[in-house]
Amino acid sequence: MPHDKTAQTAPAAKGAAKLKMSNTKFRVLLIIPMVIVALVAILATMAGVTLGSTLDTFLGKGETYVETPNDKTAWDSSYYNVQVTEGEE
Amino acid sequence: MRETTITRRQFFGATGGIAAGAVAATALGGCSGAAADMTRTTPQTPDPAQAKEAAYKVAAQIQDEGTVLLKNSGVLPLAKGSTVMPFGRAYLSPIYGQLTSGGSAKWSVDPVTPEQGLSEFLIDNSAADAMRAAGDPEALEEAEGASAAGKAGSVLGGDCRIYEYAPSIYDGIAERPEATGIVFVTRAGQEGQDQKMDAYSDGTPHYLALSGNERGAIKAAKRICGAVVVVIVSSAPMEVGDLMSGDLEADAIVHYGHPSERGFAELSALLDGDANPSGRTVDTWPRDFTADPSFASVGLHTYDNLPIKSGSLTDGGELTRTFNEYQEGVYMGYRYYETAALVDPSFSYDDAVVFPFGFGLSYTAFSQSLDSVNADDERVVARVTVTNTGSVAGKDVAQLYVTSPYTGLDRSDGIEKPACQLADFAKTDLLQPGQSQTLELSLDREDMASYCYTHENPGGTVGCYVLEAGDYVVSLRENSHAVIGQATVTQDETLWYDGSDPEHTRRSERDAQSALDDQGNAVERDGQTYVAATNRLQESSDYMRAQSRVLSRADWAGTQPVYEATKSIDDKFSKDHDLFVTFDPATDARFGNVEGSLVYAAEAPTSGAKNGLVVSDLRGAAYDDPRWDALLDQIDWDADKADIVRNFSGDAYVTSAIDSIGLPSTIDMDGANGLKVQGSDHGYDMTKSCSYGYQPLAAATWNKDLLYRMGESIGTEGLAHGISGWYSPGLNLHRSFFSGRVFEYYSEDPVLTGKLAERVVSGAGDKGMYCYLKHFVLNDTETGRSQLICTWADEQTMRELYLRPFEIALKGARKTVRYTSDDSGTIAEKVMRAGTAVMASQTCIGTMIGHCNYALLHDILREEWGFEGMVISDYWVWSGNNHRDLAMRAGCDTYLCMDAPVMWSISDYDSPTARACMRRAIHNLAYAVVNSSAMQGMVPGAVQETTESPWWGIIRGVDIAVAALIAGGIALIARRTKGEREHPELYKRSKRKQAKLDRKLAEKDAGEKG
Repeated sequence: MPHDKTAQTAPAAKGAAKLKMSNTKFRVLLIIPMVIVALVAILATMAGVTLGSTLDTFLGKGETYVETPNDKTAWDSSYYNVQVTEGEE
Repeated sequence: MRETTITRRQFFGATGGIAAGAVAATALGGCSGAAADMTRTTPQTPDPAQAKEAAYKVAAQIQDEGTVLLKNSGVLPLAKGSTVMPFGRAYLSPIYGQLTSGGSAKWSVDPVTPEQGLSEFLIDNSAADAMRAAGDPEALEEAEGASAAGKAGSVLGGDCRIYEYAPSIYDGIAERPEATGIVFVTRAGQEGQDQKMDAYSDGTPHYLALSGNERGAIKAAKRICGAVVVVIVSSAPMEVGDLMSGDLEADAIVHYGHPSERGFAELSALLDGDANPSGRTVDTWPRDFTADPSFASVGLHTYDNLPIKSGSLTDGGELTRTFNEYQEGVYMGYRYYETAALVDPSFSYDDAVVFPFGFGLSYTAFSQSLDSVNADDERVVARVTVTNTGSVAGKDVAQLYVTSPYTGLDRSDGIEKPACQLADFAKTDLLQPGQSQTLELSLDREDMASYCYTHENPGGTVGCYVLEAGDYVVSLRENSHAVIGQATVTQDETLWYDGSDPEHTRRSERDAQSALDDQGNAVERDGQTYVAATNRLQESSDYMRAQSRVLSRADWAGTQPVYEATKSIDDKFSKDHDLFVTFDPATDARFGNVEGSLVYAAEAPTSGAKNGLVVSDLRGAAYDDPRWDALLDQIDWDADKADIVRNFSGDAYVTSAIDSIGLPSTIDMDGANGLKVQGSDHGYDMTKSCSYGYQPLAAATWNKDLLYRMGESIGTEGLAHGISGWYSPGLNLHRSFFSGRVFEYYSEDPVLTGKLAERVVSGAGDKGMYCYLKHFVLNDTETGRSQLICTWADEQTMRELYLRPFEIALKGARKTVRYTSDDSGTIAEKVMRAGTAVMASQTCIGTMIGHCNYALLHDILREEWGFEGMVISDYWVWSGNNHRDLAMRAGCDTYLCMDAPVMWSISDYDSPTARACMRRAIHNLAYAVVNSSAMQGMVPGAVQETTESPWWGIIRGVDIAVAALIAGGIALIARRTKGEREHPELYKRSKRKQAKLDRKLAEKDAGEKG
């Protein structure tokens, strides 16, 4: 396809249609925040792994429960009396 | 058992820190639970608020019964509604207990104040107003050249400052003879440092003496008020001899202890007689603390030839090792003062001792009579009748002591015999005026034996207990010094407990090494062999003889302890002193993967078996039940590696789950004065559980039943909060009142300590709590404990004093365990040993740190005492893996370290020897856990699971959002790149790029023209 020389090769003349941002500049502007955000995510994940117990303390823990065989759910498993007895003599 | 989904508040046995590692479904391939379909069920737990309030009733009774009335000229009890005038800064700002969030105890957040505690009286605020108007007083500084008063000895904080107002602030207060002045005096304790042992700028000789301003406050109170009561708010005794007579004489002295959150609520009742004090001192109160024989040895003493490169992260680098020698030997506390009075003509007991051990007054009077003492071959039983001869109801304490004969054999063999030793004690019920109660106190005949560390046994070992022939005086005493009545028990023949046969092995050892029947009684089997106590720490005894000295009746004046700031240690005692730094699992001859080492295994144990068991199947099973081996054969060392390694390197307030055997995770917590519960205040919430007065207060009750109820209450709170283990009680002794941790230990006496601990452990055990008895052993002071201090004592001293509380509690404590006994779900009960957890000491015994000390953790604890359960290290942060390898191989089953995976590693995970040692440790851990409240709600075959912590959802959301953003960005860049390639004219370009493009176009045009 033949080129329209003046339109394709010369910088935009004053008053002409505005050109898009340079791609290099665009990449720089986009990649830097992407790297920062990625680092934040990685650090947050690492913190979750390394400080899990501490975060549990302050942010709450997962739910712990008991899995009981279906045929034993009616068995007495309350090995300790949960009625609080009076502390006085 | 309810079949519902539990809420977060209903956690049981949860540890979020190892949430993801709880029993995963994939790991249950070989477990009985896996074959069946499973249903999520909810364990039943007590209501935490109810448990706390019930516990506070026990705490109040401990305050009532543990407060010691030391002096009373008749001013107490005060008339209800009478006028009191409080003095002293401690009235406005007392030390309730632990000062900071660091350390093992709970701190107070909204305590009942002394002012609130005195609410039943008419308070004259003249002195208090003067104090408030004066602002905060300046802290008393150290004397020139003395140690700093404001030093913070550890990362746990604390200092030795003394604050008191200048007495001149009271000058303008008019006399009020109808008012009773109440002068509050307070002192702190702190984990991680000892108290200041030298002078302050005003001449106060040390931290535990009354300061000049405190003396001034007492004098001012005497001038202004008709009578003066001094209330001592301190766990440790204080030097108060001057308050007994002269110009500082107080009309009454009350040792209130550290009362914690609500202890002062009992103050009015104790002062006006609604509660009658029945506490007894747990220590001897000398007139001059610096004259105590321990004073020469505690503190900082340094070897000039023993550097060590520490692996500690907090105290890393090269250290110079320090030492602490127990030169006073068995003559510690009242054992010293009573013996000195017996053997030293120049010694005046009345001048030396202000309050004897076991001393305490009441608002009523009692008489005690020794009705009988009956002895057979095994037991000595005394019957004592106590009568309330006064006019108000009260409780009294009966104390039974033994005096052993001191013979030529003792002199020749180096056996020491204190003038008297507590053997048993009992507290009466509340006796009304005129009412009597007969108590039975008892001891085993073998309890009268002494340990001889020089005796050569027939089997080639050295050292054993010996019950010498002779007359033993069994005495009923008001306290360690005042004899009420006595009887003689004769031992006809000298009996060496050298282990040559069962008859020459102490019954307590035979019992401890035997299985129990379902009622908790030892069952000796025919042909069973037993291990008697023999020297296990020979080097320490040798050191004391060669490089130090041990106080002896044979030469009382010539063996008194001496102060040595520095000295050189002989090579033979420093050999391998740094093994816990240099340990190489591959080559070490004693603990390495070397044939002939103490822990060597040629073949790795079976693993990955599919035997269909989970830990919950073994609740109630004996430690040596063969099913344990079948269960442990199932361990998947690869899949469970992270959790297994964590148990040996980073169990901070948890133990990790091991999925392949269905071992649930647990939460274990600190709490010298109550159970710490997690929350948002430095990781805890002090309001969620009861805060008791500190340990010496509990001990001062001398009430075994009350201590059992304290254990029960703590166990119930643990059950309510999903906490199965308690890093308490502390069983080290009050060897020195300058120990920063007097508040955490019961007493100077091992029998009082051991018997009370046995009740606490039993009470807690009956509610499912395992108690880590600590710090095993010789961690009686704090100085140098995290800098590898070398602690030395002869073996008689160690066994009769410092090991004894642990021995008594571990051998004697029992708990009732409910378990499923058949395939129909029938519940049965059996009595088992309650002592299933021990915490090793940070201090070194000799040169070897407690948690790497095989002689302690294996020879004494497991071989001699038959201990079945787990040992944990004290908090210990090291950068090197080899230290943890050595600890695990020496018998330390779990390792208390930082809650950070970066610290969770060991050097050798794969060798057969390592696997065998780890398997043994997992057995110990699982045995303790399966018979605890961690199994509440878990029938045989049941397993624990834990969902992912909810905050992971946030992190995951962030990750997804970031991933989406990045993907979008990449797509945008790609699209633009493509667009620019196709339509470069639409994009701005740099001059360089424009020139390049122009050149290309020119070349293209030229080509087209050509």
